[in-house]
Amino acid sequence: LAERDGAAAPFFFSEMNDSTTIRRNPNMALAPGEDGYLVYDIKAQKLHRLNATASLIVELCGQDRRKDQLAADVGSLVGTDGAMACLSWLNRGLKEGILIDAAEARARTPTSALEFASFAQTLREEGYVLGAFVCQYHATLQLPSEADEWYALGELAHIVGRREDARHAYEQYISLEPGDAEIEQILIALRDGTPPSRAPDRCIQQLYARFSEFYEENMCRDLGYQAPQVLSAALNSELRCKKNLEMLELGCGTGLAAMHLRPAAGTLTGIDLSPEMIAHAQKKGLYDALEVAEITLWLEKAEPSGFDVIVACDTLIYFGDLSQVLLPAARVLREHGMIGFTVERDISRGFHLTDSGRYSHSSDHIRDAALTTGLVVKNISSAILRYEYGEEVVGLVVVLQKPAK
Amino acid sequence: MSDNRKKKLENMMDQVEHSRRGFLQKLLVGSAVALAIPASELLAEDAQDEYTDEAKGKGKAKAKAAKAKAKAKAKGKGTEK
Repeated sequence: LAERDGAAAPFFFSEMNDSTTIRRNPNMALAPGEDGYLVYDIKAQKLHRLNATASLIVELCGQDRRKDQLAADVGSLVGTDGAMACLSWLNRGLKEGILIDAAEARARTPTSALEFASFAQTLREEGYVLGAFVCQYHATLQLPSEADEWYALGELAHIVGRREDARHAYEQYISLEPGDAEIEQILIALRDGTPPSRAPDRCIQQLYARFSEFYEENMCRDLGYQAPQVLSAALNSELRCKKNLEMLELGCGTGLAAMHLRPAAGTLTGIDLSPEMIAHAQKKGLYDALEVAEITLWLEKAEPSGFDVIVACDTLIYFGDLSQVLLPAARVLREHGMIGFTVERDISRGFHLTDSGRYSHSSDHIRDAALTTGLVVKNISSAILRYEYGEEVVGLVVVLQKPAK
Repeated sequence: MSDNRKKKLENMMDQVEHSRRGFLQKLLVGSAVALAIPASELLAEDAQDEYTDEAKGKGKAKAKAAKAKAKAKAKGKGTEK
């Protein structure tokens, strides 16, 4: 018996002359991991992490290999007792189905790239994102001219925290599908480029044209969206039961916040850049007026001092410097009027474009922007706004007031 | 790593699938003395129970399906309900 470092399974020396021919499992997807491959066996639904040497062996087994010869060849690069260590791992690889008998491999129908891509989508929908990433990676490299595969790979790479892979995948996607404003915005972040002052209008319009159909299901059911509730609670504590207020909601979307705002509103006006989202809001029947417009342009054209309350629930996440919205908003607020909004919290100073294509903001920036625009900070507090990829999205809930002259 | 071993490894690398060669080269060719003993670990037996919420992001639910639909619509191939 030979054993190495207590880790390898014991085996007989006679195995060093094992002429069995082996091959890589043809139903297995491969993707680079941290220090070797991640491999996903779609038949067994098992995910393995391989170190670099095991990855090399798996690559070499892309064709028929004699087990003893392979152990000797790779083992000679491993050092003392390398052949035995390699043989031991080959046995393990065979036991776990990473490698199989060559005859069996030939008898199996290899999984096609499209099947791997389809399986990746299934795994993703089931929430198994790392396996999905491995299958999608494997599929995409075999389908390099398919824009949708690069897009799916970019998303999965982002979800599993593979930033470089996400950037590369989106760059491939955008080269095949130029003009996708959402991905252009995300790529600015992934390339650590200089962010624009705000997300381009066509980026937001494109996003919500697609998103509007499943917005409420996604936000409320999947992501535990709480921003409308926490923002209206913060506003109500400042408004102290005032009623019959002239209210304006910037980026009203499908109208999720309206049911919380309506009880204190005399009139409620909703503005949104997306006609698809406005159409959903219209159906709720909670707004007195709804308009499709870009909010800063709308504010600049609006009558001054027309509103008691302005609300922007998860809307300012598409703006960098908040002064560009707060300044025209302050103009249309009445004296003692309030503006309440939520943003995604940035724990450093200032604001940043995140890899999601949205901006995060620090409380320091909000205080600076309030000072610049002549508003008084009434409340800045942290709250969980929703969840994303299983993690809490912590936001800042802000209420600012326009002082009397 | 000796020149002989380096050459042997390079010959093996020539057999690695082209799209993954660069990645493995980075890991293996820089090895100072010898390659590590091959090793692997099984990451998840039944992953479906473990990562339920990790795929859910803002605007990302059913993203591929929704994207395909939007694309078809943009090309005039789809009709809305």
